[in-house]
Amino acid sequence: MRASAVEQVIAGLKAAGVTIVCYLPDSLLKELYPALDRDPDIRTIRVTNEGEGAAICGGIWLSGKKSALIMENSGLRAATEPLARMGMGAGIPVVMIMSYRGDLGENNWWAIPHGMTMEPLLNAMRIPYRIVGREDAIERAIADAYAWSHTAYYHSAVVLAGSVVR
Amino acid sequence: MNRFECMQRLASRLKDELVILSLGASVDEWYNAAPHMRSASLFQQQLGCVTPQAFGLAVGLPHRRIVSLDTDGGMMFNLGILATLANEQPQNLLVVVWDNEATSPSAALRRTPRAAPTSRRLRAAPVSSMPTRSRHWTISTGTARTGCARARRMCSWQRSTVASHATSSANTATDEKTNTPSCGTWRGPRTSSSWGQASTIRNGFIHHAHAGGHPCVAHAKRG
Repeated sequence: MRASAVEQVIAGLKAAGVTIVCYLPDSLLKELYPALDRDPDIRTIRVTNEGEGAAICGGIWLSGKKSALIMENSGLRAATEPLARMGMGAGIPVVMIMSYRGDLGENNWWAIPHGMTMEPLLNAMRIPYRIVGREDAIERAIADAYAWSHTAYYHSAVVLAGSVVR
Repeated sequence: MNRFECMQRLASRLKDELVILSLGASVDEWYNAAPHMRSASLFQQQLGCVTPQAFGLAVGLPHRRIVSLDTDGGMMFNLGILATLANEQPQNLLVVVWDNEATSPSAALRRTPRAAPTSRRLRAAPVSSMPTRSRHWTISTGTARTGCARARRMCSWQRSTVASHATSSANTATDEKTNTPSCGTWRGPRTSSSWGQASTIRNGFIHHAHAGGHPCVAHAKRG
């Protein structure tokens, strides 16, 4: 992930009013995590699994603050249960930013299931998402995700793909 | 001491705290043991999410003290939160775990007797004061019957957020006199009857009657 893309993500988060980020680090976004840790305006919380991160983000939303859950797209599978309960059952939204593992061009066999399951899972959960493959579209996508989620009281996702994460 | 008595002791020491609690029989007990905390208590039906949500609330509201009333089943669903709490060391969070020695409030899946004896007594330290650091207790109440009256059905389906997220600048402001978030109204939860309904905020939480009855009843076997 290029430094310019990292800057776009952080700029998008700040523009959306995000002050707290929960993450479980992955390799495609590996440059993003230390940058978030260094940023004085963003508190980072490292979690043990993505479902826990989703729940923490839900609690942060209850507090009135804005947060983001950043992870590899495989984390969506781990987070599905708490996301379903919070979003469908209680109207507590979580905005997710995830890397697109298993996309066309993927050369790691273990990552293929992540690509096969991500979009079907998002669709099954009725979670709107935008796949972003250009740096100049990152900030807009993040802003739109927060606008939608805080209008709908439901989750949304920004999927960073293509040249953004390579 | 049974669970209800422990709740009463805890409740007597709470005043301005916010409470997140798990679903199940302990919900009714808590609302009876701590009637003065009812407007500041939010029960959540997400297994494994109670303490993480309480932690998130504590992170977002560092000027408030947050209490998580979790269950053994809920905690076992996501033990990782204990590592996260150890890592983060939240100063304004108290975690209590109720151990009813069963995987369901219905007791249909109670543990075998061989596993029970050592945990039938209360293992928590006496509730002395709210912490200056986070504390995590495991409280075993065995199969003791609780002392709360169940005649009055508690139907307060509570959903909450502190702020209208549309006015982010107001979200983080606090009223210096009451030390509560100074925010206005929000549109209400997503239920068939109250979608779009405006509500006022009490103690930082918003409350609505749930149109479909008590979710605790519907989901009790999962808790």
